Amino acid sequence: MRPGSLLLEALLAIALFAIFMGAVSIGLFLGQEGTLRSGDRVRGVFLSERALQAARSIRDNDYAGLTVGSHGICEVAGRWQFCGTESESEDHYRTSVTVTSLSVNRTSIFANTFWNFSRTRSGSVVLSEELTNWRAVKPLGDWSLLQLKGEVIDETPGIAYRSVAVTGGYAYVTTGSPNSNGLLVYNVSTDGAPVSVPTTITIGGSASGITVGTNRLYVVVKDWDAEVKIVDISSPEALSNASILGAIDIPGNGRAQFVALFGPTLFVAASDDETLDQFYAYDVSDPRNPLLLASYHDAGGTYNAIALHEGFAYIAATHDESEIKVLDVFDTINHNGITPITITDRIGANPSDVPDGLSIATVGTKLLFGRSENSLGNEFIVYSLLLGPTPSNNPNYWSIGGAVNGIATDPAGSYAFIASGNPEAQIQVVDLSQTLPVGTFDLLTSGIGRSIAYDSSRDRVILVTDHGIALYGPR
Amino acid sequence: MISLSSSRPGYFFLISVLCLGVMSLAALGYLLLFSLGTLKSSVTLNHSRQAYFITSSCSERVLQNLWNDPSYSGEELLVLYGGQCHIYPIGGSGNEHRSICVEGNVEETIRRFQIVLQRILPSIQVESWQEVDHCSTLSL
Repeated sequence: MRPGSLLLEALLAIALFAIFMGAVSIGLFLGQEGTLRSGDRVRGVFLSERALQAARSIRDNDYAGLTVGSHGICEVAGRWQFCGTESESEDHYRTSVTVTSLSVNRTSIFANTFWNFSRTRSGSVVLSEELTNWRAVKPLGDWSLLQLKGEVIDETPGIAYRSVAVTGGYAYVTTGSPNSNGLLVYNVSTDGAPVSVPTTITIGGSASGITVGTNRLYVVVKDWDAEVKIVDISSPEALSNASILGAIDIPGNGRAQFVALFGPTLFVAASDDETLDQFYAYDVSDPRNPLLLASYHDAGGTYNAIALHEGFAYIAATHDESEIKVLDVFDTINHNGITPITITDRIGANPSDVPDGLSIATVGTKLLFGRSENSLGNEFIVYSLLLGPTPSNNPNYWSIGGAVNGIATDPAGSYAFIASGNPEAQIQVVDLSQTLPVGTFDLLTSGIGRSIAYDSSRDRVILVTDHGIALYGPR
Repeated sequence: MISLSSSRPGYFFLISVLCLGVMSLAALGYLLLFSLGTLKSSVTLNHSRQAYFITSSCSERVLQNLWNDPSYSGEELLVLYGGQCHIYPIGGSGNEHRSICVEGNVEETIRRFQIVLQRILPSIQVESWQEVDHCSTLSL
């Protein structure tokens, strides 16, 4: 053994020990710092989040309370308020809320929490959110008196307007003349006479029912092999035959009467047939390949119109013993076009006498039913749905003086608008809140009322007559 | 056979220090990893909360758009502060019983809301507003 090696090894060991201990100390220090810094960040996130929740609470109370600028937050009498330009927590985190207006009803909120406890423990957390004024109540006009904003009379020989649907500032009108192209487009985005939009689409002769979905139009035509046409209306100013995405062939020949849409499910009402069904449900999520989900047989009458409400389909039919049908079309299974849905019948209603059901609508807890002209003078009937899907026993009957060919309502359920077969009063307004007719209007010289639609984006009503279209507003 | 400890006592000390060192390095590694994990979880929490608010912002936009025009169809991709959100096609039709699905994400953190509206106009009435794993197709 060489002298001195023990000392060398000991020194080496001590040096290594010192290095290890130093590393461990640094590790401990860094670990603690890291944990503290992450704790700071978590606390900062919490405080920024709280500031955003406070801003939301201020918005919920009154949108005007979101004043532009930098604010602190504080709680006064149990309510959040803006106070000062920043607020400081007990543990010395400072939070500032910056409110910026993006448009009339849209506001950006930035909540910035920052801290500075030492050279290594400083930082900030920013969370951001946009708030809008969607809680506002949209003012709707007083429809107790109509104002004609504009009309167009179509002098095309033989033209026969049938139905109207409105979306995105455009009214889509079906025509029943076998010689017409079946579908007309009018721009109704501004007051004044509706402006005809030239198209090159030919939907097929004798189109009737119509409904709109997301960038889609569903049109009923008297076509033996393709009774429902599906049209792409993403470019309403440029409709052509290429816009026709697909079609549905309802069993039988030209039996479709009416269409109603809910999400990807299209419901089709059909005419009477001893063996074929009167009600069909299709998955139209792929318009080029609609899939039949279910159908329902109810011979003895024709299904003329459908209203969808709270999981039920309400149908205006011609069955003498039950002109109002109620079908349960609720499906708890998330249908994906493969799983068929189940349709079962519920108790409907049998209004007095036997005039045929022509139109139907629902709003709130009311069922509005229209039927053909009759000597009893009760073409328009209002039922309550307050106690369930079955229409109430004691409805209110109204005299319209003609067939009720179409019904629309304002979204509040205050007024019903009727397209009437009464040549002296093609459009009629009923005050549903007071169960009073508020007006009948004979403003047009283009035939009887055929169909009616309410444009909720502009609080306007569009009526089509035999060969005209009119735009109405509240007084 | 001669043992190291008896013939060269310095090695005993060195080996002990080396063993201690290995243990110290293991502890050090653990501490650093723990610290890193804590930092990462705080960043993830931050992302998660921002993704929540992005999803909430998108929901607000959808509700305002529907309030402006009930025919608003959805199907949009929006870029917002720190991330983006996808507004799926609005379910249902008309003024009543509509469904909304929005999905916000910040990097890999995703939050998703499904909102069912009882009606849109004259004022929006919300039937349910919940965070979900997957949006379901709304049935009548």
